[in-house]
Amino acid sequence: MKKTGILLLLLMGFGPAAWGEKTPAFVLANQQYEAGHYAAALDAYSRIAARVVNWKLEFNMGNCCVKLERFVDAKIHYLKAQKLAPTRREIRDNLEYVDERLGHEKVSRQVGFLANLWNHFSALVSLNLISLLLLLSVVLLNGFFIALLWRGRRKWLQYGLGFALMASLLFAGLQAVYQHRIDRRDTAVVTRSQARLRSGPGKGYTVLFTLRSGLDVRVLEKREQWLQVAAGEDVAGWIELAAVEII
Amino acid sequence: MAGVCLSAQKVEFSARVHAQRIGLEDTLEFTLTLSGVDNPVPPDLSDLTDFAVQSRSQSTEFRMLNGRTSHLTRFEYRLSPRRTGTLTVPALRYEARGQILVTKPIQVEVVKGSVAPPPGQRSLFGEDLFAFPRERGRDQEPVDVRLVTDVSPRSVVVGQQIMVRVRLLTRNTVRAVNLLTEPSISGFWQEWFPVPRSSAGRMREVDGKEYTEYDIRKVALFPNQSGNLTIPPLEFEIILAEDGMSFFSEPRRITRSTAPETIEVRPLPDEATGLPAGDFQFKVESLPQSVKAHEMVTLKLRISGNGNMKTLGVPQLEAGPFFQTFPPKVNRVLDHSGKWLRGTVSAEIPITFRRAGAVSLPPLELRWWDPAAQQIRVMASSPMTVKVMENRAAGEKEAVPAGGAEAVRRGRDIHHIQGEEITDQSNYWNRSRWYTRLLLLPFLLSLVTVIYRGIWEPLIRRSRRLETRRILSRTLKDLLRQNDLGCAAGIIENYLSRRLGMKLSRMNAATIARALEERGVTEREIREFLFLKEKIDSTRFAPRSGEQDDSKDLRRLAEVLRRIDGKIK
Repeated sequence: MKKTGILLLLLMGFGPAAWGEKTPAFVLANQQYEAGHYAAALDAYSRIAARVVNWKLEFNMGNCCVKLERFVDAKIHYLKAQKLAPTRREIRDNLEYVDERLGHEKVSRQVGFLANLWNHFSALVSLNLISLLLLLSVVLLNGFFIALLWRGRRKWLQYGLGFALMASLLFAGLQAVYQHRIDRRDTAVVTRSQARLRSGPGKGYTVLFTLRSGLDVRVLEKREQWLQVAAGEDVAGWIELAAVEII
Repeated sequence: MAGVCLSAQKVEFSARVHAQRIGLEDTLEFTLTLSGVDNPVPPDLSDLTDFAVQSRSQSTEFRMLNGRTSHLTRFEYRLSPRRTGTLTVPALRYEARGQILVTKPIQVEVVKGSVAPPPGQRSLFGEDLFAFPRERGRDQEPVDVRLVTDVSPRSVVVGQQIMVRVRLLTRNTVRAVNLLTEPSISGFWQEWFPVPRSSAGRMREVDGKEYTEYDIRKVALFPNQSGNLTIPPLEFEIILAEDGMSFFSEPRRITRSTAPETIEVRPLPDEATGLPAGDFQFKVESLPQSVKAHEMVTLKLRISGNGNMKTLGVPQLEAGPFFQTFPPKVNRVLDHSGKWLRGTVSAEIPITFRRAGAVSLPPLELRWWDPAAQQIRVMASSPMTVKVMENRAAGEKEAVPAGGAEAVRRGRDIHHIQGEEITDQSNYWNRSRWYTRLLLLPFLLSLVTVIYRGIWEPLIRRSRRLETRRILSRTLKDLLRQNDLGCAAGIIENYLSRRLGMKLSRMNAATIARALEERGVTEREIREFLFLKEKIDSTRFAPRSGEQDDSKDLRRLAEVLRRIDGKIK
């Protein structure tokens, strides 16, 4: 028991040691931004982003792009930041600003109650914490099971086993959902000016609409070099993969 | 019929048409008036879809009144309607001096045919009945107004500055001067000077007569091609003020043109092709003597001179293996106050240094053609050596979150994140190998336990030989783990029960001896075993002293058991 406790403590200690990138580079990049050297700041943020994934980096890169009037790139960065931190209001505000500058209609980026609840829950409870809890519950589950095998049927062992099983299933399910949400790539931004939305995945299909650059669309399906996307409630069609950037 | 716009300060933009009802065959005179802007560009009429533009002209009015001057530009268009009905001259936008000016839309009714009076038809009121009788028959005073153009120099090289000055010499009282021609001179890059706010006339004698002289226009020209280039005539409308004029009378308008001027433009020598021409000064500010790696520093340079500062290129600093450069921030300022156009170009080049050590930056060089000296001039900065220190900021102190990251609102602009620490959000434990192994390990243990309890133990129980070996090994292990003989009693009884099938209640020396004898154990061994067992039983409940060491007896007992077990059939 003692040894298990020590192992857990070590695990928890190991976790934080891998956190917290000491980021003087981030501070320096901010200084460059403050000084008005936006291209240099963007370059500095990009170099950090090659090693570290963080919503603040994407957000500030978006800001640099806004200052350099590269609004489509800015939108891509803001959407990436939003994927990493869906509850941050600043990201929503800046997205609205960029949409305005791109001349798009104002799109409400408010989410439903359940989605909002989930976002706040996932912001509070990280995937790593879920993984740790899953690990603990699996250890407990197997511990109770082994104890049952060795010591025979005892009620408290049976209840413990049942509880550990439920906990394991719950945390395994949560982990799967978290992972799915992280891995899913169902948003894309049109990067090509006047991109064509067609009725099918090929240049021979009818052009239904023309999409302006900077528009964000939902990805429905991928087929070779074509994506089926939905822009808004009523508009759906196929667009070339090269004309969009998938978030 | 005017659509007056929003105005800001002294800038105004208005639109008017000459009639609200015209025929399909008529033309509509449409005038846009812009005041308070020097050298305006023509407005964009692409939104004017109901009409076609037949002709356009532009006039500039320069008024001098009571020592004050004002600047007014009229853009006049003749429009022909595309269809009948109520057509709209839409609101037109104009951007000037940082403001967006918008006119109001004007509606015009267009009918079939023509509503304009046929040529030659005079209105019923052919004479201006409101004109004073005195004006109707009055003699006009003679006009003596002339324009003089000063061009200097007349022989230049490509890119060299030429100053063109237009002077008005007049013996009449002038109320306003308007430039009628487009202020665009092909073959030259041009920079028009602002119209002087207060232009005091000077008295000058020309050909024995006294004239009042005004500077009405000044432009700096930079030829962009070689050859004999011509500055075309500039046509001005001059509005004269006459004695005895009433409020209702029309002012007298005359037009005068400057003479065309020819300039000889020589090409630059081959070795100077592409260089700016003029006279320049070049300064570079020193960098700090020591900087930290990856820290941003700015190299500032400044070029001033009388060349074409709008197109002057800034010397480039190429990135090296130890430092990186970024696009410079360039600022250009023109000075119109002197006799010649001068300007200053300031540039800031951001630089970061990749590693610690002494890093030398190459000199920056500005080359230009000096027309006066007829040679290429070069000014270069000194090479700079910078000591780059290691950036030890990470080791000097723990990174402390600055109260959480701050989202800073940049005016009405966008949020920006300022903070000191960021974490890697992609560091997911569940994707690492160690996590997977740790997760599988308990299942593996469970599996081993299941196999052991479910397969191995039944297998052993079914195999007598294995079972007896197991009983012996467990007994010996338990015995050797004990510290005193008394604890071994239970172990021995357990062994005898499982190995010989004896019940505890019937266990005594005689039954044990008999059972062992039946199974082939020798008498000597039985005796030895019983002796040790007796010793164990006697010490079972006896008080112990701390000095006793029963390990020898226990080992002996274990040895005896091993021999007996080997003999039991």
